[in-house]
Amino acid sequence: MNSLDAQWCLNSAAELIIRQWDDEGIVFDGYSGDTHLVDQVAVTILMCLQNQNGVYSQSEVIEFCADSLGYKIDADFNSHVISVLNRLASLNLLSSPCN
Amino acid sequence: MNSPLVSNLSIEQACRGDGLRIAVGPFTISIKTSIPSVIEGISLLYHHYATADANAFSDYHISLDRASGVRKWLRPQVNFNFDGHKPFKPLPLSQALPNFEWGLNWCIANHAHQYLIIHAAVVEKSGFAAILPAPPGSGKSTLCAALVNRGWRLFTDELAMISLESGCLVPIPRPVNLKNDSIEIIQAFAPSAVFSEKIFDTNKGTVSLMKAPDESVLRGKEEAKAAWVIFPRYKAGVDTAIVAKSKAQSCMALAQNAFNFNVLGSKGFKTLSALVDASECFDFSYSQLDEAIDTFDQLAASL
Repeated sequence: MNSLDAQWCLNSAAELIIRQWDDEGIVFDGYSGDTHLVDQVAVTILMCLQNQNGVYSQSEVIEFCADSLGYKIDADFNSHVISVLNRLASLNLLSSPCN
Repeated sequence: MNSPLVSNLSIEQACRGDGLRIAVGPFTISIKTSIPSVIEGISLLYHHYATADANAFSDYHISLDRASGVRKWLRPQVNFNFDGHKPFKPLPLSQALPNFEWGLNWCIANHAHQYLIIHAAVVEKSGFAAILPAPPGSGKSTLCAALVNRGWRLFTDELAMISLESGCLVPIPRPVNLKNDSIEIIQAFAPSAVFSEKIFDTNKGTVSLMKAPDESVLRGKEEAKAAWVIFPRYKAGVDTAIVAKSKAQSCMALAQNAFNFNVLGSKGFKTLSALVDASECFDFSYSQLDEAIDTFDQLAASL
């Protein structure tokens, strides 16, 4: 599978409350009790997946972030979104693949 | 509750008898002890608090007594007892009074989960509260002591309590715990303030407790809305500077300074984020107390 086609969703165990202030946000995971400081790309990804409660391909996530934040999709932006997705997964907030 | 200003004799009798019950903010504390330094300290620092009868409900039952055994004679120690348990190892007897204060902090931080409790000082003016979270050594208690001697009301120098119901700060005005150089600094800054004897060689260095101002104690049940979250940092010689801090970073720092954030779960987070929403957040550097107080007064005047 091409990495751009990787499927992402919220970790089913996570119970997220997300607050955004300016270009940063705080994510509280009620399941783990952990609190995370994140950037606006992470907030956008989490809110997107939380609101849609579904599964998005990586390319769809990148497109959604670019549209929401007014960025042009280029190699740097792709790379940043992918690194944020991986970081959120390492925090057990996202899953890929999704079951 | 009975009126305050009970006599030192009745304080001593209650401490040595069924326990002295004092109203501290929303709590009633029962304290039993026959250790003279604790009785003297309480007579000095708590005589202006309202008291309750011996059969009144108490939130925390505390007693301090001399450790038994050979040590009793060689190196006397004090035991802190809470509801019949000894949560700490004994300390040297000379530290019995601060042991009471530190132990009471522990009791509240570990049991009063109707509040979100953050390690921070809180002061209030005109109904609005400034929260000063900071690690030890940041000058938090020094700044707090200076402010409450210049017209700000003392809520706490250690335990910021936020009601989960109202989202307001709840006062728990108690003696301010000053350490090392801060003791002389505040004694010079506020010559009329009342201090306990210095207690040497504690794990915090030399400590002295500054009596809470009368008005702060009298108004010990008046809550206030949060208006500012200010992270103080004392550094010798620096110019006074107050710089906006991002709300997300402030929220994160407050969460890291909370004692019971994980216990409260999502309720705690919602309470904390609402507090940050309602507050202006700043980093604050200072070396001169007068200038620091001017800065706080200007903030209060700007509302």
